[in-house]
Amino acid sequence: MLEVPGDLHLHSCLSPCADITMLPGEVTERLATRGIRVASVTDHNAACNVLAFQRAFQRSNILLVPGMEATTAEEVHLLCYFETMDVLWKFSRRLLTSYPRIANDPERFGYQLVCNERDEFVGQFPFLLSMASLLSLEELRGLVEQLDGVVVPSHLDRRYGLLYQLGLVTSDMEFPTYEIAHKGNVGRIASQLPGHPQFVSNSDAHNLDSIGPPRYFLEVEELTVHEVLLALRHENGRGVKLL
Amino acid sequence: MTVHDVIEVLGADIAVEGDTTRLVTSGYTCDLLSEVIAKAAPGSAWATIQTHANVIAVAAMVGISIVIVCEGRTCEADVAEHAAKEHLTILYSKDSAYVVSGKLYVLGLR
Repeated sequence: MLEVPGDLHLHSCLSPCADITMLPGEVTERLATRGIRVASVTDHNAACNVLAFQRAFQRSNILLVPGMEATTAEEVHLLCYFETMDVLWKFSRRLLTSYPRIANDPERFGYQLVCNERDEFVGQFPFLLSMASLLSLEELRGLVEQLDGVVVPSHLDRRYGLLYQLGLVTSDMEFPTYEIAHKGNVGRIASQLPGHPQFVSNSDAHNLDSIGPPRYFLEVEELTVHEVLLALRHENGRGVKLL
Repeated sequence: MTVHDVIEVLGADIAVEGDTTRLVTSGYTCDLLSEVIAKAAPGSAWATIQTHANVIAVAAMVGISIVIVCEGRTCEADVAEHAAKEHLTILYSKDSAYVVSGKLYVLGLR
């Protein structure tokens, strides 16, 4: 089994709250320096920059897992991962049909910049991406799983995390893997959850300096997106290990 | 005052009629369920726009007497079933949580 250092929660310049320096070349360089081998660009509710990052990652032998951080109607943030870019786009289009179209005011909420793999800005996303979709937690999860994707609830130990917004996780809504912002919180959080979940801790980087050393390994047979998704589902002996 | 009194004053739609003889001794308005668990007092009338099934779980945990879902929102399908099990009353109000809270305050709930 391989042990691969991962960071599956990064924001690009598309996210209104992220720094405009979160560009493919810059991010790739930081990830490579930190020894990250598998990464995911998970912007809020859109995936316009993922292909540019995939191309940049390829040049440094970093595997990109197609993903997005979607906001449910309850304002719970969910990391959603898919096997291919095509499926991610399908999800992205479906989400947009259930998304309030409020024009973004960049001066107020931040710029939502679409870029190419040469770190050039090529456009702006028109609708504010920090809104909640109209899909409930269960509807959004159902949609992702129908597309053979995996949902990992974001940062359980802080705002917009599942526990923070919805108070508790009942046994009929448990997940195989959860994200925590701070590794030190793992015991406290685990005691509030049903079952025996595993935990990842990603950088959730909104600026280049937040891209840090790896905090967990993915245990996989080979370095492919399919294997990473198996690890996040905690299936077939694959899994994750906090460092 | 009882759940019955609150129903009469708010004039909202009854989504689930539970035990209407429960005492209502306080009020709380919030949509963040972790905050409700931490801060709301037992016996509260709770005004919220949150419609997830966890509203019922949290209400039962805290000992909420009645939930008022505001802004004309309606709960997800399984909520009525859960609420009935807890004998919890759920109202659907077209008013905002602000207006509902004001009405409860005038009623004497603090």
